[in-house]
Amino acid sequence: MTIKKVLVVDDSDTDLKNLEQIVSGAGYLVITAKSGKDAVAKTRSEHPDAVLLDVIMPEMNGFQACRAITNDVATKDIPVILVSSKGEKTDKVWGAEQGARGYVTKPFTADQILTELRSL
Amino acid sequence: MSPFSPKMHSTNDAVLPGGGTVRPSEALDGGFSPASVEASAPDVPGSTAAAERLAVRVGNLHLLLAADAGREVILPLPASRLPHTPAWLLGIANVRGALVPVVDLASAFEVERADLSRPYLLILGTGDDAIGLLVDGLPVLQRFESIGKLSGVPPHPPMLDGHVYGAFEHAGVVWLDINVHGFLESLSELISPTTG
Repeated sequence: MTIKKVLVVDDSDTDLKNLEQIVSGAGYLVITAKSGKDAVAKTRSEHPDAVLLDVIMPEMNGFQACRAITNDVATKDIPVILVSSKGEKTDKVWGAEQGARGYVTKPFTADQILTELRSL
Repeated sequence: MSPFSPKMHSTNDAVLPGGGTVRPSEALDGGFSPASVEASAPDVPGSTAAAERLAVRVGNLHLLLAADAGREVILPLPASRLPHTPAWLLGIANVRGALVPVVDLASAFEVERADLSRPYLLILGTGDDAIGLLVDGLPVLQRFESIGKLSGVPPHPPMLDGHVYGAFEHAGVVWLDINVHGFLESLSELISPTTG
């Protein structure tokens, strides 16, 4: 699968900017969202090739947004990679249960993020 | 004898047969209000579609919740007890700054906790509406074929009276399909302090 456009989601401006710079610096087209609901909406409207999704967010968290994306007929084939400070095995298993294709634990390196994207 | 505890209640006489960067696949190897919790939709009668549910275990009870009822699953956290509350309300836990009431379902249902299963805290709802349910083992999403759907409501703990949509049998295990919203509402009423 060729990844060109990536939706980056994080409610933290700092983390969002960091992720955006990493991904755009590698040549991907980046769109952003700052909440779970916004992520689901932009996945439907922008149809990115992949989603990098923060987990801990108010209201709809990343797990819930991931499930919404992977359960929607229109977006179910778009791979979601969770990016979170929640690093327990439980979180990774729960993320996989919600349909995530990858899980990166914060703090991350640029290589970790790009390796996940390239593996899709 | 009921497959559950002697204090189980049956609403009919049906006799039922008696867990840096890691890929998920690698990982796999190795007073609240229920307003924000989705209600589990009962299946359309006659439908042959499979039903997806969040399957949780509490002792020898096997419960099915709405597939998107779970917000997250975490390891149990210390909870501060509240005076004049039921024993099954373990207290209030601090989940990343949010105060979440924690309910020991095994205690609430008066069943023995599973010895070999690690307890987890299943968080439902958001913010002030969040609640944590102590369950045995990791909840998993599972599909249940309509062919496994049982007629009638199997024996269940009294606290679930009126909140069991029905049941599925899968691999010899009976799974109770729970109306999460209704169950949490009744829990909320039991927890709420009395006035006057």
